Amino acid sequence: MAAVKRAATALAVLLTSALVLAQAGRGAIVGRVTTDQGDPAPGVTVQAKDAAGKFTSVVASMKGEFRIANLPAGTYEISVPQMGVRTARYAQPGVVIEAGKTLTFNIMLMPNNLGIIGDDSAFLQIYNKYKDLKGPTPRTPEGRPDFSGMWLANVDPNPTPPQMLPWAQEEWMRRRDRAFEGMPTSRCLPTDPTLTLPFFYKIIQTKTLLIHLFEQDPHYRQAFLDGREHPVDPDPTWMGHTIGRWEKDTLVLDTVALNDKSWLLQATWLPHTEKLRIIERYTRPDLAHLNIDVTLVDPDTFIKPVERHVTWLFTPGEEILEAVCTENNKFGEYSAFK
Amino acid sequence: MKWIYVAALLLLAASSGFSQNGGGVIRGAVRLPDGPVARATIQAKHGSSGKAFTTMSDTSGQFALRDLPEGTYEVSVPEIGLTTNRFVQRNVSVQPGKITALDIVLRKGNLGVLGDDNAYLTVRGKSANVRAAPAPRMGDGHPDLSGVWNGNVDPNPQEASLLPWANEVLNQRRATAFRDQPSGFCLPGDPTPTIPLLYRFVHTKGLLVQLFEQEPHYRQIFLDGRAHPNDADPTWMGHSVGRWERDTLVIDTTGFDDKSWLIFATGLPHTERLHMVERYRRPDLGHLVVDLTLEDPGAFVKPVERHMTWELAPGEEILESICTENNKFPENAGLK
Repeated sequence: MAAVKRAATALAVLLTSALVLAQAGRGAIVGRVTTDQGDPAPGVTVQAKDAAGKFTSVVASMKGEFRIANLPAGTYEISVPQMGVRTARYAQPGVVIEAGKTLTFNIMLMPNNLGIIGDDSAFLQIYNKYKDLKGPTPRTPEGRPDFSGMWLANVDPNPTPPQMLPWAQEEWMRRRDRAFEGMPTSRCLPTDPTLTLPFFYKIIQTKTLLIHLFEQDPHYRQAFLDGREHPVDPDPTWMGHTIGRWEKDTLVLDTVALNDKSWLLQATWLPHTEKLRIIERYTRPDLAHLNIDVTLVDPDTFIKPVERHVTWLFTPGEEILEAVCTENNKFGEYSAFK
Repeated sequence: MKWIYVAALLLLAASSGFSQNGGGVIRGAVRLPDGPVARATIQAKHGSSGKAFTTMSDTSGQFALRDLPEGTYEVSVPEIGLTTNRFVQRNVSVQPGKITALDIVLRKGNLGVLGDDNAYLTVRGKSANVRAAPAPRMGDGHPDLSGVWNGNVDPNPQEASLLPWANEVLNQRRATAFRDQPSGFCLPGDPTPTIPLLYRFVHTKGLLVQLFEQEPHYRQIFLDGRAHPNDADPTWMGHSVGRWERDTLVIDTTGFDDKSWLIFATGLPHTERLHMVERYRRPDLGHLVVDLTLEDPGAFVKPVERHMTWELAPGEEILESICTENNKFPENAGLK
């Protein structure tokens, strides 16, 4: 009796999968993600975006293999978000999935323009080491979410292109054409007040202050949580002046008084004016994740605010290392312009 | 009748200040070539007993050290801020009932073009207004060292006893007016907490973070019980762990590279065997007592010590300071 039931169930499952493929016209895509060196890229995210903009995502295995089954037949954009500092975002539009068929689709990730700097295998190793960490959101004695700890930052998996005023668009194109020659980092200057580099950040949170420590100049940022206002007539600085307030369990950081010398958003490097305002919204839904929504407002540069949505991963066993740019500035020699 | 009596007593008391103690007075003014210096610390050290008497100059630079026992004194004014040199005048004679006049003219140092000591003195003026109150405490009962602090130099620095090679290097550095110091190249200059500028301490249960306006801008001191790593790569700032001895935080740092120049305006060389011990104590709201010991059997004959008292700097903030953007050192040091 039990055997009959099992057989019936198996038959039902078979029928169901056949029906799904046949009825809805579904297919699958399988493949392997490698680096440009031919090494597997374990744990990377592979996304299929349909014509309506809906994403189906899977995480590649430790051998870099992936399989997205049960995709309605149609045309997709297959993408792999940027990971680490070296590997560029991969995107291939116009990939056709046919009903009842499995498409084999191998992906080779290419370095970005500054590709020789950094080592993404370290990024992936650390990411894969902590990605299954589970637990509740830690809280401060006052009951606020506690963001303190070591975090591995990540980029927005689906960045939307910025809409810029003509002068800014022109300047941005010039930077891209020159492979970002002359970016402030290459002269050991602070580059980006948006804290979007896919590196480590350490957060130290007290009742009145939130500090970010990081391995790039200027190595720290203070966000005042003590209720103070922005100064009335501040000197503009690379990192600006940051204050924060709580909206329930979300910490909203507001930064103004930025100079116009920094280049915004890692691997994007947008220009801006001193009117720039950066709003960051931090939430920690569980132990392992920090969600940050970044909004860049600058009416003299952007037609509409630029947004980025990133998720950082908690990496409690890691540490910020001393990084002294002036001692170890390899940018000049790696850049094609030396 | 009564009023006359009180006045007579006061007169008697005033004169007895001289006659009973046999005390003398050193009086004068502290100035720089461009004007008086307020809030300078003046110290008179008695020759035979070594006892030190201190006072502070008023807003017009005037000072008076009273009730001094007879004898010869070493009168000194510690460095002020970044540019004003330490002043020392030996063999100042004090006689009972007499006033010794001493006008002190401070001089700017070798690197005197850098920095602005008026700002330092302004901050010191704010510190003077901090109310007398006990040190704040953490949830676990330990003193909370958090705050923005105005660093300070040791008012009585001892000359370091160096091994011959180190002495030779130090003499070379002095002879060239410290022009090759790492901070001149926007590198971290000095891992010791001896620069008389602002420090912010962010103190949590497991971690003390120090922020400052020089490279590398921050320092972490782990208070979570971890040990030093076994085989760490040497770094400019080393690896720091802290533990409490009652109300004193004892910070132990190893893992240094040998590139930094130690102690502000001193520039001592050292090896990778350098071991730094700092003892931080907050006796009240407004003060942080910092005792520093540097051991390095590869460079020092005996440990080098510095003893400093920092002041809370209310309303002050660490400012963004980007050396690579604003490096005036080479031209000011005559390198350009």
